[in-house]
Amino acid sequence: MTATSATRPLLPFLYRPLVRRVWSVATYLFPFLVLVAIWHALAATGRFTINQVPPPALVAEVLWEMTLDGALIGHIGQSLGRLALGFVAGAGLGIVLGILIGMNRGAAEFIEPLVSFLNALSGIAWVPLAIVWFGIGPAAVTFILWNSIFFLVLFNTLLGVLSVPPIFRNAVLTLGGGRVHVIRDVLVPGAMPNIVLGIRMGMGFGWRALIAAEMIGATSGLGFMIYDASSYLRSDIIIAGVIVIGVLWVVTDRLLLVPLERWTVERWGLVRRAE
Amino acid sequence: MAVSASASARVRMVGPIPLRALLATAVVVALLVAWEGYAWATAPSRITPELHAALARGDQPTYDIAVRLPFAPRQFHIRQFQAYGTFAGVEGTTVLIRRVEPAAIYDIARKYWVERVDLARLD
Repeated sequence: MTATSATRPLLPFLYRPLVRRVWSVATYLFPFLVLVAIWHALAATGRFTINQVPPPALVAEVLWEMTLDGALIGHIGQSLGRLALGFVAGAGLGIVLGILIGMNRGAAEFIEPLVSFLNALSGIAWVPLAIVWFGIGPAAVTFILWNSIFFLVLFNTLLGVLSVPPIFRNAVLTLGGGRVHVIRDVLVPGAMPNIVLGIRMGMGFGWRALIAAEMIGATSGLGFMIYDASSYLRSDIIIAGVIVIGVLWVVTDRLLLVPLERWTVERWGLVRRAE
Repeated sequence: MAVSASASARVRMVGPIPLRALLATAVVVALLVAWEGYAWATAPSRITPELHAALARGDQPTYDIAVRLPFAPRQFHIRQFQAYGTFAGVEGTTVLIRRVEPAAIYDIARKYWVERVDLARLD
């Protein structure tokens, strides 16, 4: 094979940006279309009641109705608001504490097993205790959400700070820099890939914990919407809610968190892309 | 360590921010602004002239109102209205609420799924 033929694309039209993008979206959506087709076929067999397997058209209709009557937007707003609150509180405190603890090796060695232990616990495991402590309501949900995000971000930030070679810190101190310079110019950039990884994981786990917490400890939000629908055997609303939860996460992850993580890794990580 | 990748696979930046994250944020902000603008612009048209006049007089701290919806209210809608006043019942597709402050009446009228907000005659 010659060098020219090796570099020339086999089907040039596939390499045009727009066509490639459309193709990429189509290949991404194709498995979902297959899933919907199987779902439709299952519902059409007549072996299941409408409560067991509601047809896709019915779920789409419910989604449209709930959008028109404001219920869907309202529940989404409630869930996203809680996620934002839990994220700001959990990630903010996790990053600050992670950096501060990471600066002191003794404190880090003391705290790390605890954080590792608490990090391994599922957010939903805290639900019973949260209800005992805070009662059913927004405080319990926020606590569960905070719990899921905080320990993940703290753990990853701590790992990131500890992974920064001490020689860089010492270099800044030797050159006359203070603690602020060490944090701003060494620790934060050095730990950034881990911090962003923690944020991405924290958002994912937080989102799951939020839905679970809303099922048990809230009177609004997507989790509540699903749980409440089960009381009336409204499988169409349950499936509609599940779809919305999945779509919201995919959109947030692909449009916000993935680019943020790639950017961080390219800018501050060890991996460099070839020019 | 070098990772081979085409130049087009690199994250495109606008200053220090990834382009895709910036665009996603801009779209969300634009949608929120449009949403708020729509609610602000359409809210007065949902309040009846009678209620408008009563609000303009400002002779009461709270009002009893009837909120007409284009559908039968569900649990979600009742809960929403309970945040603004005391729920007093449902007549068809109209929800009756007691003791609603003027600012809350405008909040209710901003909801796109509300058809009409009127004064209610409640005993």
